[in-house]
Amino acid sequence: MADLLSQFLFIFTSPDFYAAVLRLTTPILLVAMGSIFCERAGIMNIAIEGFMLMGAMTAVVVTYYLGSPWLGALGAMLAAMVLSILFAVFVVIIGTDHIVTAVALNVLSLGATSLIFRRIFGAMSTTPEITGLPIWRIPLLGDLPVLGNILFNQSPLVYLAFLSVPIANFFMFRTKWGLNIRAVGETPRAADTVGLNVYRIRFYTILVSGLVAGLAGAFLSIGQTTIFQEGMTAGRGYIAYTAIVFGKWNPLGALAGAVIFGFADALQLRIQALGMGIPYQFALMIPYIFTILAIVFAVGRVSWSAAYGQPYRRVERSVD
Amino acid sequence: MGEMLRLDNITKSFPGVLANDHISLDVQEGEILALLGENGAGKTTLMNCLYGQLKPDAGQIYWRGRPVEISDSRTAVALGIGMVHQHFMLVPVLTVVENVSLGLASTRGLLLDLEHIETRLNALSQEFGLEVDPRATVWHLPVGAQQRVEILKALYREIQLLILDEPTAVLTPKEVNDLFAVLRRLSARGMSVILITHKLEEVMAISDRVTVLRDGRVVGTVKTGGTTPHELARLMVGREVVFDVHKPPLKPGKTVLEVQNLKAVGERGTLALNNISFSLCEGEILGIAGVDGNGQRELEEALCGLRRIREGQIFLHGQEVSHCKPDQLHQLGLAHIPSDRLDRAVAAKMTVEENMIASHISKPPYSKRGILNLKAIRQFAQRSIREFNIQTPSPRAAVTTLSGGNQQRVVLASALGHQPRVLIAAQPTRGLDVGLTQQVYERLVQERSRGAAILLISTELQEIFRLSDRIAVMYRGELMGIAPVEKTNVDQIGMMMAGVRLEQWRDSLP
Amino acid sequence: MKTKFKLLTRPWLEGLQKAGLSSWKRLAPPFIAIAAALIVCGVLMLFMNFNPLLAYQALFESAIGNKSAIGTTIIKSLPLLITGLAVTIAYRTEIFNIGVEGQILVGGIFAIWVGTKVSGLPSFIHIPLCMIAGMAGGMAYALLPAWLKAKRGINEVIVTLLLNYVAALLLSWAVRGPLREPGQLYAKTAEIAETARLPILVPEMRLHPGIFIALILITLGYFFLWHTVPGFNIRFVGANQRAAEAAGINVPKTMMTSFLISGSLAGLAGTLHIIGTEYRMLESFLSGFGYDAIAAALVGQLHPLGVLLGGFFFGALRSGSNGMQISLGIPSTLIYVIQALIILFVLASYHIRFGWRWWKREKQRDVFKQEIQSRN
Repeated sequence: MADLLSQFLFIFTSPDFYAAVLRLTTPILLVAMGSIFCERAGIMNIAIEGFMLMGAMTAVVVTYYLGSPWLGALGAMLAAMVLSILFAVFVVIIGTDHIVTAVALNVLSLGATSLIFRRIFGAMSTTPEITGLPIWRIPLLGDLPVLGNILFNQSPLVYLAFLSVPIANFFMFRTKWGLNIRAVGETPRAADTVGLNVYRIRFYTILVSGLVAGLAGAFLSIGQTTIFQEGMTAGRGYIAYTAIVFGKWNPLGALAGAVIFGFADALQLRIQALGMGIPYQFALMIPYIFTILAIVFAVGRVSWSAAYGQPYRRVERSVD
Repeated sequence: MGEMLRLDNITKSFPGVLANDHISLDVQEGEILALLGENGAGKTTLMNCLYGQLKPDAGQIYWRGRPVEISDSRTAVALGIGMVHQHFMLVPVLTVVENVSLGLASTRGLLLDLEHIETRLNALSQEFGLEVDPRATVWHLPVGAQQRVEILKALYREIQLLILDEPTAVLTPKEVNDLFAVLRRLSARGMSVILITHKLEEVMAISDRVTVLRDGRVVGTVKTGGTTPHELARLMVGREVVFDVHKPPLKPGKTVLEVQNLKAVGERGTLALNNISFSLCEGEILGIAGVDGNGQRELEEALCGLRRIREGQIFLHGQEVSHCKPDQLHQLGLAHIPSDRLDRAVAAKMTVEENMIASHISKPPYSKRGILNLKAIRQFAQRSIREFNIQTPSPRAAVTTLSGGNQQRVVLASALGHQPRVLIAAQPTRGLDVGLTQQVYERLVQERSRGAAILLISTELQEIFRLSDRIAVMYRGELMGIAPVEKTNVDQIGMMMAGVRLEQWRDSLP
Repeated sequence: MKTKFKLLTRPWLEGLQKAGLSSWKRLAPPFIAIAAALIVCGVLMLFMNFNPLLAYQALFESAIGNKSAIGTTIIKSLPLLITGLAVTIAYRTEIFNIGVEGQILVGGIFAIWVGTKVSGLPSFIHIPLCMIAGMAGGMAYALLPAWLKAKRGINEVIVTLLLNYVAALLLSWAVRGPLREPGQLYAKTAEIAETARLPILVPEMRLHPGIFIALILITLGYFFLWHTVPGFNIRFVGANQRAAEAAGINVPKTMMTSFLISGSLAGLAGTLHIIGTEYRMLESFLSGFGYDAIAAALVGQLHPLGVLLGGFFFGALRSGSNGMQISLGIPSTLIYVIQALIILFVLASYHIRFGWRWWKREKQRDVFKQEIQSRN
């Protein structure tokens, strides 16, 4: 027992563990920063799971054919954006239920990615040989003892993810567009009467969520690894959504949520690697359990606005 | 003085309703025009057409003699038309300045320039006497202040014509006077005002001219100086109006509802009810007056078991029911007409009969051992449809297909169908026309004669005075006092609505 | 005898009337959605160099081409019928129980446990015991999201989606760990005892009495929703929670009831598939059937009788897609695409119906406008 405990505690002494936390936080954080705007504009967007998966698959395919992981990442963003356009058309223009539409799109993404991948690489899903995104070692800072390896010897997308937090925060609270987005999500009718186009703002923010989710998906398939597996996002979109809710729809709060879930993910990898007599399935459950616990204990009844998750209509029926 | 705005034969229809039928009217520079009409006469529809929220089917709008097409509210504002909606168009979580800045171009590109706006806002609020803290978050502000924000928002956009939709519904009598003073100041500067209202005394007090709407048509435009409230009422309703309810003298029975030192918390976590105490007898109507948002809704909910009580007690027939669930209260003969129809009173997607029976569904004869008796439900529904004269194709029609008035009748049928001993009637006539309102009044008086104890919560002072035996006034979650109707008057109640206690008022008398 | 017959048929006749299935307008949208999805998917296949006509032919033949194909279709439909009912009942309370996917698995694990570890019981006890265990498993797995939804108002969708991943891991552990059949190369559980298996009624179609259970449950589900007090409460809470509260309906209790019924039905669906057909569990047990069931319920317009249509359709798609993969090499994941497209088109069809009405109104308005203009 004491042995197990010391083994467990040993995990936290390794710098590699903290580097892994950053690496595993990245996809969740990126998606969260991308979709926090459409969330604030009133869209309950859990379709990011599907956007990510589409991005992950496309990144591998494009990288394989064009040889450049950067083009792969770009392709991933565009492919995910196409999916997000579909989502936006349904929930913003046609006005369908956000959740059911998102679930359908996630199933679509699951089917389509596996179909395309199997069509191209055969049913055996032998991994094609590709080169992934590089690691950027930041000059000088990268040479710092301990911290250098943890913080400054990472994929460029890791830096981007963490940089995107202050950017998103600034954009949300210091710019006119941020204000408009918040107004549209909180009280769409009031926003409409002062001349803001509710539909357009919601549509564009969904596209942004698609673009960024595609990039996060690319990070999974050509950043952390160089393979694509069916359903490889494994609920990270849902976890990112929870990070946003956990952070009360604030970028900084969402960062906290994303780091907690990245921590859980790193922890389960370590536990698996160390064996420790725990079935690996239970280790794999850790991030999901963490997320559910976060919902149970940290997320209250409050959704920040009555208009959240509701289709907007300029009602034609107010007779009086 | 030139013509500022002219509407020419504006027509707008909704499925099954011709809301505006060839409406023509005009507004002169510096004029205050009252647009008078009952609920459902088409006033708001007309103004929404003018403000670009709705597209008229036919007709032409002229702005300073020039034909214009107003496709959205941005165009309207650009022309110089501003509107204060009945339900404010403010974003509650944002501050006053942020609300004002929404939709405006910023001088700093993409960045917000709130300081600049704040400076101008302060100047404007001084100029017109519209006092407001620019940095306050809107939902913290009382309703009267929110209305000032709406007016400032319009003035900031340099409008020349201000439309106000039923602005006095949320104000105390004193605040109404303040508002009218602001409107006069605006008109003195050459701006025009359209005041949408159904209250005759306001029309007489402030307007220069009145255009009266009835059933979507203009029935007359007159100078205010050359008319009388009586004439306006006849124009508005289309027949001689008898504003009298025949109420037999009070025969109070024993006390059935007693409330002691009630305290409860509101949605925002603040104390919404503070030390409320009163009692209610059989055969009596107790009116609760007050400006909307002073705790009436919380009181209604607390009495009906829909809101947790923090302190204090409620007794029904001498039995403590402070923490009873709604169904237990229904068992004890309490019935409830909820204030917001679509919120709590009906499930719009369900059928008429299902809505009528919902609060009695688990009792025989409507169900036995959990199995519904559809025949008994149908019979009850058909009886109620006849009794309350509900216009519906069948008891199985969804409530959403009914008109607002008929929906309210369904609510009445469901509340009164089983001879309640205590009735909590909250805003029972909201959104009804004069005819229907009269019917509701008569029905409530009937119930009173039968011996029911009625708590009438209403923001309409006239309604309170016409029906109540005693009047209580709520202000910021407290009762300012209770007075028998024959020993009080509108002035006294008005003072109490503004926060003066009955005792203080008595003290201040010579 | 006659009254008994009436009792059985009445809900159906009445239900058909109530669902408005007599009018084609109400019936058409699901069929239009299915047709549109198949067309779009056909175009996609063209892009991927598959022949859609051949594909659909293969799909059709291996779904209902011969007796054994029909048998497979019915067997695959069975879990969808019951789970579709589960989704429908929850949805009537405005609860979107995506968790059926996980509840099926946990119910199955419970049933396998009772089926393999308990022995020496007669069939008439062992079979019901398995079914009860399965329902208990499904219900237990719905308990947390149900409680969170009812008592704390927390959105059930995310919680159940996450629990689905956990359930799949639980199954993987059970199959590889405590319930694994020793000495086997592939991880799978042992077969359940003979006494726990349902009899096979039609051997060449592998039909078992589970289909009758499904039909009875659907009938009962209809009766429950429209003829009982709890069913009434469920629909009222779904239509307007706050009005239900004011009418004295216990909203949290109603939500718990409907969510737990939903969970136990999903558990039962998994159980019947085990004790009637598979007798054991693999890691891929009924994978994706929860999502199929959601699609089936939506196609069935969230009506118990409509679920019958949706359930058989998606069952046929499941059995047909296997044939398509074997004979033409088209990955069976294609059916996920079809399924997603159908859901999207069903969603859109509600609104397109509104759109149609709106367009007609616009046209009337044009006429009206012309009239006015000519009058001037």
